[in-house]
Amino acid sequence: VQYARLGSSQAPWQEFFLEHPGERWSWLAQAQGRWYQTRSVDQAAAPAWSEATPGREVTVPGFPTMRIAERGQRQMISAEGELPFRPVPDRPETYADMSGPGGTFGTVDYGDGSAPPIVFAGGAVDPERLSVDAPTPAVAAEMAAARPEVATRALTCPTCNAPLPMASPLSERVACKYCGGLSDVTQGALVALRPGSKLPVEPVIPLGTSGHLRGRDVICVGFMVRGTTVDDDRYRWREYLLYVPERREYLFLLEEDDNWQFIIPILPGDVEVNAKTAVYCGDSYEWTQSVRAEVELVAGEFYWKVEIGEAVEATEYAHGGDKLSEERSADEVVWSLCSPIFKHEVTTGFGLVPRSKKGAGSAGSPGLFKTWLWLLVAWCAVAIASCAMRSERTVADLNLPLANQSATQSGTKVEPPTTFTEPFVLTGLSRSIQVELSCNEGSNTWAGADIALVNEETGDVEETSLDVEHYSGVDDGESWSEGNPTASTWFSRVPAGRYVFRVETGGDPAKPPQWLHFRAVHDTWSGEHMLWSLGILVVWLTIATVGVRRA
Amino acid sequence: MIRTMQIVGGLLVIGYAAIAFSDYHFGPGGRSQIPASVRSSPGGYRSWSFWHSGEHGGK
Repeated sequence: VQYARLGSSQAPWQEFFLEHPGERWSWLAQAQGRWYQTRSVDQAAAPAWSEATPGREVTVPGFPTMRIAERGQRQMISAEGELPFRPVPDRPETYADMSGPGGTFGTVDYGDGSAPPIVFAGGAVDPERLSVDAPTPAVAAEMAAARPEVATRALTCPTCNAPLPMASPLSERVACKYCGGLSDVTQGALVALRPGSKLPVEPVIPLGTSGHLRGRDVICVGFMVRGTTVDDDRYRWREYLLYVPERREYLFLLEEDDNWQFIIPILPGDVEVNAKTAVYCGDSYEWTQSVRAEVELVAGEFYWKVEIGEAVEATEYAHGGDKLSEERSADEVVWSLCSPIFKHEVTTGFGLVPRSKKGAGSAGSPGLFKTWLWLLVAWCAVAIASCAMRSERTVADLNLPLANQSATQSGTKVEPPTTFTEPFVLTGLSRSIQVELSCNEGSNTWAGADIALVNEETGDVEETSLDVEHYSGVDDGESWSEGNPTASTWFSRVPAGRYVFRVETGGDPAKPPQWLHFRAVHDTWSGEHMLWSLGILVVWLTIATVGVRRA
Repeated sequence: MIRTMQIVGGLLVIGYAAIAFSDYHFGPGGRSQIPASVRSSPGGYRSWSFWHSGEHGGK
């Protein structure tokens, strides 16, 4: 029996009614490159066709629980041989395909609705184990027709008359890459659906290009731009439909911001979804996002009736670098496995010449990696250069006098000890001075200094203060310490001139530290600059990377 | 999104370069000016009373 989707005689599929020894019967069918063998199952409770929505569970005795993967309408095109029913060509019939774990497969045949539905269940068959031993030449020809064909059909665009070589015999819709016009494949010819305009985006992989990708000979037959809106921002990505003639199946390549994904459609029944987790082949994928993905642009041929504006609910689950993608519409749920692929693997696989020398040099690295690499290299270059250009000159280095303990004890009011450093001259560009105050560790007291930088020529004064304190001891046999015996700050961009430091020491006169030291260094490098800038850069790159991967 | 990542990342590196090469620091210091009369007087700004008379600002 040969069926086609209702309203289209193209992309037909064949089903063979097989007799087994012992008066047993089964159906053998091929779709999307896979062969399935099913038999009717009694006492299976099938939902009504209107309720057979994608994802709904169906219990079939003797089989693991299956889910509705697709429902649709079909019509019989032709039939031949001994069949268990009276064939009625062109009569609309409804059906729902089911998918279960381990390649189990089923179909609910609702017929024309005049009789109770019949449930068929079985599983995938390895095509390598199939051989044709047909009783009649007609059947042999029919089965041979189901074999892969690589020949390319040549059609012309009904809108602009441009040649449209079609590589896939399963294509249902074609978008002209020259004029953008969309056409339906009907009775072996193209029927214009709507005019278009020239593609605003040039596909990286030209349509019709043959290549070899991950062990498969493929032909790039379709190009599509899809997008989604999140928080008023529009995100777009590009998808390439690849046809594998040898297996009569399809694959996808997805490109967004120069990051590429290799996408293999998988059986919905092989994915077990529990709340925010999807399990596939024993690996657990965590939910990352759900968006509404809309088709914005199409070119080339497609095995479904693609439309501009066609939308699906796309949900992603991630596990390491791989993703599971579910795309759900009213009548179909499609799952696929996405794994990263290097751009050079794509360009090499299709024999593409890089568009520029610069592009060739960077083709081997995904965009995210390149962005991280170049920004960190730029940061390192700035850090090294800014350190290398420092003159690092010590302009003051002295021990400070401490408060007069005896005078304080006698009650005499005394002036805080004050020190003026030796004058020093700064020349050239304005550079900063780092001042540092330090005391002995374990001083168990505090000390401070009011520091003034005086320009003896202009009278300009800049002031700051520093405090140091360090406490330590032993409690219950455990040593402890707190505070910091060293403090520092900066006088920013000090212009050229003759300067002195005035340092006025403070602290507890009854308990001064053993020593208090002051040091000033002109034009030295700043660890704060390096740490803050590196920290902010890494945090931003991390946040952006997460955003890019989620998008 | 990756373009935004590159632009903002580039601006961060440029900002770091601007601060590092100009040697700018967020200093906590206050600025003031010693009057010319004080600078020319005996003892000048080195006298204790000048710094504690409240005559000059910044502290």
